[in-house]
Amino acid sequence: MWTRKSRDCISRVAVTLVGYSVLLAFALIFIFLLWQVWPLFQPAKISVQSLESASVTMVDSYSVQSTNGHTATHPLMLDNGLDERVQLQADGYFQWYLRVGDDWQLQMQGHLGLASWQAATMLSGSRTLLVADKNAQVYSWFRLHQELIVRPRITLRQMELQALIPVSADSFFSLHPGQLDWYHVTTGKHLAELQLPDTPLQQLQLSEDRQLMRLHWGPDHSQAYQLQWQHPAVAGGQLWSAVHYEGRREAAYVWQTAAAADDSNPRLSLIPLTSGTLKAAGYAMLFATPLAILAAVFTAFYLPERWRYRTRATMEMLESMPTVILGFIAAFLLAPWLEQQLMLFFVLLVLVPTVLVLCSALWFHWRQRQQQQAEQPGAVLVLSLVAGILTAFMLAPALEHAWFDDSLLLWLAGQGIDYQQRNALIIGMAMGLAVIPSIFSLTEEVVSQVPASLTQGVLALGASRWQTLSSMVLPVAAPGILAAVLLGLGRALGETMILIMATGNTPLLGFDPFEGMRTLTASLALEMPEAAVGSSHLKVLLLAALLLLVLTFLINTLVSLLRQRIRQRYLQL
Amino acid sequence: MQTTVQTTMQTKVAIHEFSLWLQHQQVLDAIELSIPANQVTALIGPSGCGKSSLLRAMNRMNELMLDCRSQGQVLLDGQNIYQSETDVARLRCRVGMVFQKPNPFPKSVYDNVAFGLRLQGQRSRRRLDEQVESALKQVGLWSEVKNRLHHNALTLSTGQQQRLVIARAIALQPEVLLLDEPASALDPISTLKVEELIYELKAAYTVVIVTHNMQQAARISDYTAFLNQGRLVEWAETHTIFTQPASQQTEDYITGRFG
Amino acid sequence: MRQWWQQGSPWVWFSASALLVCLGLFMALLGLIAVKGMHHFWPAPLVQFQLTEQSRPQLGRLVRSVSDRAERKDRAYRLVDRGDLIVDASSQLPGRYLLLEAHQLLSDRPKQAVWVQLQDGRTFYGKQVGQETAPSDAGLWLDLGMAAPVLISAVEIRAYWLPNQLSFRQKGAVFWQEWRYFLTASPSQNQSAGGIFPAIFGTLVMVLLMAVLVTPFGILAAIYLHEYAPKNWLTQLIRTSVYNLAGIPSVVMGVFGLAFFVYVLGGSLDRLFYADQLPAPTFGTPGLFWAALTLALLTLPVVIVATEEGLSRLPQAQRLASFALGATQAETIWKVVAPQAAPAMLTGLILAIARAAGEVAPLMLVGVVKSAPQLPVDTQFPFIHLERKFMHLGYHLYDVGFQSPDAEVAMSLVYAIGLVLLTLILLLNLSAFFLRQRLRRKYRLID
Ligand SMILES: Nc1ncnc2c1ncn2[C@@H]1O[C@H](COP(=O)(O)OP(=O)(O)OP(=O)(O)O)[C@@H](O)[C@H]1O
Ligand SMILES: [Mg+2]
Repeated sequence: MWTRKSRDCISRVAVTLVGYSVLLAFALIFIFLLWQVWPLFQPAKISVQSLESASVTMVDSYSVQSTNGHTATHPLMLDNGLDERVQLQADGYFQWYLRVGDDWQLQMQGHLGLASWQAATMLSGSRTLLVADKNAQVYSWFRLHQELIVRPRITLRQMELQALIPVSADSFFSLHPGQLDWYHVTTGKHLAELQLPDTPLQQLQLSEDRQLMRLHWGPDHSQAYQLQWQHPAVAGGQLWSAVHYEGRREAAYVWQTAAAADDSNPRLSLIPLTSGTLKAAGYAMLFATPLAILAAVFTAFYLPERWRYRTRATMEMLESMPTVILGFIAAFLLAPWLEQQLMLFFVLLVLVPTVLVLCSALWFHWRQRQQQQAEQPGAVLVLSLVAGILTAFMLAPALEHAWFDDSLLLWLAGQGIDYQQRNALIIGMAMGLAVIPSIFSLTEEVVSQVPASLTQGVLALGASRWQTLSSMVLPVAAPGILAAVLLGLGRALGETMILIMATGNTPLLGFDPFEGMRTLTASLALEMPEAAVGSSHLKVLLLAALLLLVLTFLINTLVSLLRQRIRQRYLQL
Repeated sequence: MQTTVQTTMQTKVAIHEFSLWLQHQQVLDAIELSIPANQVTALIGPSGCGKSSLLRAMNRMNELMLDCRSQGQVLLDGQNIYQSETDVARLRCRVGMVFQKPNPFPKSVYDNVAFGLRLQGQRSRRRLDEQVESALKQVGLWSEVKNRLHHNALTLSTGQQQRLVIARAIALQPEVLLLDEPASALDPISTLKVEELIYELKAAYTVVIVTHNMQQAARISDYTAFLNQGRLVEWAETHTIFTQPASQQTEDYITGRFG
Repeated sequence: MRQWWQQGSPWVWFSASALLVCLGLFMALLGLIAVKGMHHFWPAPLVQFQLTEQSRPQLGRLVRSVSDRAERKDRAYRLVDRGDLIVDASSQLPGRYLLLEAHQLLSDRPKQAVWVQLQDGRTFYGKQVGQETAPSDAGLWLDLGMAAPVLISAVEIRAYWLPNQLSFRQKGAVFWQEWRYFLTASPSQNQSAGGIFPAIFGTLVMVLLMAVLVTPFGILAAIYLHEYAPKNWLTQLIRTSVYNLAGIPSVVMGVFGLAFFVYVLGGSLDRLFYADQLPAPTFGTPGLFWAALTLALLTLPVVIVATEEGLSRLPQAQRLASFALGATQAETIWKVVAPQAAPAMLTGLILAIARAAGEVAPLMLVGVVKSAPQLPVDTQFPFIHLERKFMHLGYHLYDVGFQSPDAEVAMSLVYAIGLVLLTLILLLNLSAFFLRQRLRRKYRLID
């Protein structure tokens, strides 16, 4: 007896444990990603370093002269520690030099457009010149070849400025009486501040990696600080806003990983990738939704039971078609074909529905003449579909000849429209095919489960089958169909292989059908293995993964809710 | 309203002040009932009055329902089965139960009957064979299925399935057998067979049966209890209940004026 | 006309055509892969061509016709593959593939034309010198259209035939032989020749390992949710969430696998148990085990959903019957419930396997490589090398298609790989389908 009881107990404990561990594993996905992503949003901090780490050598030191020290007429010589140097006059006249070999060559000269200024500096290791005017406005310029490009102004928090001190390639300190402020140049954000004693500061030293700072107020009064700013590439809000990076003419959304960037500073805006994902999913849905819903409605409502069953089984099987195959077909078969036959594609798109409408009208008319019920005949339909397609094949070259001088592509190029071989149309079709089975299956399910009592009631009133469908069945099944579309959308958002293979993978903004894109998923698959552990790049990728996870999870939850709702609705009927 | 029954019979199950709540709704209200040993006791009453619940109370099957709470005592041979130290599995071996719809496992006839025995640790093939045979013989199924012992039980007819399920229960040699409308899903011939079976069973077991069929209750039971809306209205020897019921409700129910 | 519109006639036509178009597209796709994949192994005739009027005729395989619409319509080219080149300083050959004009092709197809593939995967087309139909002991003398015939020694030859002489049945035999070779050999020549055995093997081993991981967890988790967990809104919420996880993007799971399993778990394992081999990582790098674990996590919801469906289909009466016979909950679950839900569990498992076999994106992150020097299972202790990288059919397809230096061979090879992958997944799905079919029938019997 005891053994039976204990076996029961063991089973309960074991199963419960496994159940918990599985649930925990699922929860862990969310928790782990959140935990990894969290540091991205940590603000910068300057904190007192109590332990004096003497071993760290300070490489850059800045002597702070007394206030108004440099208002004298002598020109100020600034350099970035590498190869650029600017000589700045008190009246705003500047000369910009570049080091070539051992001597300094004048690159450009001119006037900054400021009548007077308080302090100026060059950011270390970059080509940016910072100048603060009397109103505590910090202007930043950088040299692009022979041109001076201006970036957004930064308004300092305090008027009385003692010095501007470069910290890194895109951040600087502004030293005020009793306070040190830390600013980010690219986004203009105030990063952190440090209250200082009233004694005038004499010297500021920075370590090579910019993690340590030591301030000297006198020969035996100094203090070390830690500068904490783990992810400068994203912390200023670069993820979602347009940023004017050095070396670019204007603010933009840029996805450029460290490996691809010219100065190894990654530019990590998620906007291009997100827009790519939305664009790809959008075109796929545009292609798949009408086809799948119409096909499903027809299957559920018109096909005889046997055929309905077969179609459904086929579609279920197609749902598990590996997308790598679809992607390959899209990239190597569809893309070259579409480039050659773009005209045919558009003609098909217009002509086939037109021919269908015409044929159906003719057929209807003819049957009425014959005093017969206008039933829907399979053979005639197939014939007219084939006829439509064939006509399109015949018409397309002629139309292309007549309208576009034999080449639609050249004509498009003439209009300034860039046609890329791997573009959104290709994705629309290939990924559309991938999501059709999902949308189809669910739509078919909800439409065919509409209680028969409902349809029979309407049919009994003398409505045609389509009228029954559109007036009764579809409104009742609408939440279910919405769920099906959302299910497809969720799948399209998360699809990867097709997108890696057939998009061209260039991060482009916008919804141009003839251009490719780079999606979140493709970036994840392609860049994750290369991103260094702990880097901002990796963390941003994890953030992208978390976004996708949450988004698809929400969509799926919505799908579940809608399905539950439709089930209840059917039970009530 | 209680009629005291003068009986020399020994009481097998005594239900004492027993109340039951299912999903916060009171289903049984202070039931006071004793089930005499080696007799057939019938529970009758309108639908939803709590007959099945009372039956399930006797082997603690109610606990498998959602949100169940009970109060009071059920004494089996003087032992309260609602004590916390009761071994429920053991209890259910002593108090067997058969349901309204036959529910054989989708296993062979043999395995169905041997299921409970094997759980009890019976491993000897020979002993199993004997016990299965005797159980099947007791329900009169042996001659019908002895050639198909290893066929799937679901291939039997409904009546055979019901008798098989009874065999499955009595193979464990329970002391009490609870039957919840055992014949309601059966055709008249099978019903008759099951009724005969119950009549024979009382020699060895204490039987409690729920039925909606007054004739059936009159035919096979020795005692009858009438329940209404979770209360025990009347309990007496069957012929007393059917000939001179003490309560108006009982009379109305038996004569078919309500329920 | 009004009536025509009111009765919805055009919409019926549209929806019927939509169904036709959907099915047609899919069938065209499958047909295309089947035909092209098969075609890859069908011995193609060899043709003769001349680069100039004077030059000696050479042999080649007609790949396809090319018409460049952008240029001029009337000009059609033929793309001819003349096999791997034996580098010869004296001949300045432009490359393996030639774009020829129609008149450069000669009409006669020499009977002596030989297709020969070496063990290392190189393929040559040439004319056999001498009349013997089999290579002599020394080897095969081939006239490759260059100065002197070349001797290819017999040991180097993997396969050879004379395609222009083969009858249909002989071609069929060659076809099957080549298929067998394809399925059982390792890739050579930078993936563009040889077989795909390591990829098939890698896929199978990974999927089996995944099945071993996912089965107990999926089934027990489902049993927990359905049989043990308290029946309240929280359980319902958890259940819905688990079901929703079935739809999360696979690449996200790959990301999690890489960032957590490989970097965090693998890194710690290395520090604990393989410290002597650091900094060279053992488990701190993508590999078979992590891939299987990641896919197991990905397919866990599939198994849970299917198992729970099976459990909830089981009539409550079965459980009650078991309890009434004095069974404990464990006995009820393991002796009555689980055996009856087993087909549902199996269906879920097969669906999970089918899904895992077709997934590529997460594997790119957690362990698949374009060519693995060793198989993940071999005769050396401990026989299954969980830390090894492996090859995978789906990734192999991607790799051959996109990274192969020889685009033309890759193009037709990829169809063959696709065909194998598709067949595998189709078989798995079909078996799940029929299993479910049987399951439904069985439950109809109980109800
Ligand atoms: N699982 C349950 N949860 C909540 N209420 C229940 C449950 N099972 C039964 N009840 C309620 O308990 C009451 C008694 O039910 P019970 O099944 O015992 O009636 P019965 O007398 O057997 O009826 P019948 O003759 O129809 O079988 C009914 O009102 C019923 O609604
Ligand atoms: Mg009942």
